Amino acid sequence: MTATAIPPAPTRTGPAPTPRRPSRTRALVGPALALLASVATMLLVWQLAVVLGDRVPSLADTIDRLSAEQASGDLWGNVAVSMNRFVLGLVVALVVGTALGVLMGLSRFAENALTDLTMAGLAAPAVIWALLTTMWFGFGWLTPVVTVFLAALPFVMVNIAKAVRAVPSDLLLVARAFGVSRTEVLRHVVAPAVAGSTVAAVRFAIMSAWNGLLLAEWFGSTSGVGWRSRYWYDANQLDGFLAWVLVFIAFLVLVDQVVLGPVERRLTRWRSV
Amino acid sequence: MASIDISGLVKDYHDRAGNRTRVLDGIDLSITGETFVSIVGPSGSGKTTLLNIVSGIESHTAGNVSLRAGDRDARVGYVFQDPRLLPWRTVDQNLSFVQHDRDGWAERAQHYLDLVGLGHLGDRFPAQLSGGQQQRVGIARAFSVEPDILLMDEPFSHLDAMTSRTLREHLERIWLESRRTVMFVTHDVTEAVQLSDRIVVLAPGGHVHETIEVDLPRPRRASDPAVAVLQAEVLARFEVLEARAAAARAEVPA
Ligand SMILES: Nc1ncnc2c1ncn2[C@@H]1O[C@H](COP(=O)(O)OP(=O)(O)OP(=O)(O)O)[C@@H](O)[C@H]1O
Ligand SMILES: [Mg+2]
Repeated sequence: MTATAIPPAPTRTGPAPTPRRPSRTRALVGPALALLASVATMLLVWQLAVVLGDRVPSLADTIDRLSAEQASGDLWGNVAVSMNRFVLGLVVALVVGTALGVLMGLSRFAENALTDLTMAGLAAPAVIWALLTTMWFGFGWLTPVVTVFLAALPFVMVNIAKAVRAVPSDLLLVARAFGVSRTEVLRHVVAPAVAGSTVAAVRFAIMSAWNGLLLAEWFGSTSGVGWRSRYWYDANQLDGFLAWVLVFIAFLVLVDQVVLGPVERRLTRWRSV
Repeated sequence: MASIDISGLVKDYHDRAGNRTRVLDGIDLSITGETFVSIVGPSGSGKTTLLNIVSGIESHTAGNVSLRAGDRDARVGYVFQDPRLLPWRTVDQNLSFVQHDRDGWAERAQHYLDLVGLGHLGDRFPAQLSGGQQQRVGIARAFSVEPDILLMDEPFSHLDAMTSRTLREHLERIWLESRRTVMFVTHDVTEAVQLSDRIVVLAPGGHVHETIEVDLPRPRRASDPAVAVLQAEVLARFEVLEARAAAARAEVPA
């Protein structure tokens, strides 16, 4: 006979539990492993480059340089400045891009008027925006912010327009037949239908915008991650330059794997069950 | 008591060139109380269009449609030809989505899911259900709003013969338990005879060809001789109509 203590019945709060959903820890382990794998690959490639190339500073040198930057107060100050510009430009791009994207999705006229322009925007390399804004605005805060905005905008527009066109009309008819209210339709039909594409829009916009930011700061700024990279480049100090490239990449990987990945999985859970 | 009153209903479609196609041409139909009415007719005779107009999904060109329940507007439930569930919501949430009356909806949802044999699957997403199970959710959804008027458009036509037979039995049982005014579209005459109090036959061109009263005791079994005799008789009449429709189509070159 086995005698086991009966655990107290769990008290239920919040919405009803769904047993098949993976636990919170498992939901976090997945991305963590993915992050680990991508970091390991990066380090491996780096080590190969150190061994094969003759002017590639080692990881240890680079990290040393990074901590020196931190000690002198140059690390977090520049990261913060860049983040400010990045978030400002990106938020404006998301707001404007969503509005224009919805318009393109709903109106044939807007679609015809804007499609070629957005295609050109998608195809244009970020360096074009960086150089243009430097010429337009000189060394002010507008140069990086406008570059971020322009680099992100077409990605937001295209993906949101695609999402709006993909809202299933037969589900809208269900709602009408049953007399479901407009707000409920927005919440339960339109929003989930566009959610997946919205994450895709944000993801591409972030990558493109972050590239743009680095270049804009490289050419037209006296602060920020891009400027600091150039500082070391001009000083012909490869370990300093690489230290900042590391910061640049770490930011992209972190945002993608730790923030956007789980958000996307959560929003599109119904697809993969 | 609920009622559907349709008088002089006309529906025209216009193509891009401005040509007019008349799909419904003066339908008069009145359904009162707990009556199960089937609409049968050859393909293209305007059955879906009629149901869409009654549900308010589609506009009409002329005539009157009124849905009443006592002295208020009737509440409508619609079962579509395909399940049409929100793929990103669970079964329970799909039922919750269409409720007007939030009071006690969870019990109602559970009750009708139980009746279609899916009471234990409320947490599932539609992708986790078979086609037949999804269609049953669609049926439970329509019943769960406790509609005064229930509209159904060939709800079993995409399913295999065995599943559709089971679901027909489900439907008759639910209907016997909670009677509604029903408009049921089908092109399956035997199904119409088994389920209906009245069969309205639409002819190509969009008018009522004939109306057949079905006065057989319920629940009906397909194997019941009385049912079978009537099915054969209605089918024979329907075949004449379909042959005429085919001949008419052949005469008019596309
Ligand atoms: N949006 C539309 N524009 C133009 N014509 C249409 C439109 N929808 C339906 N029709 C035409 O109206 C007629 C009736 O269509 P409806 O879908 O009501 O037929 P049905 O009786 O339900 O046929 P089935 O049994 O094949 O489902 C058809 O000839 C169809 O081509
Ligand atoms: Mg039809």
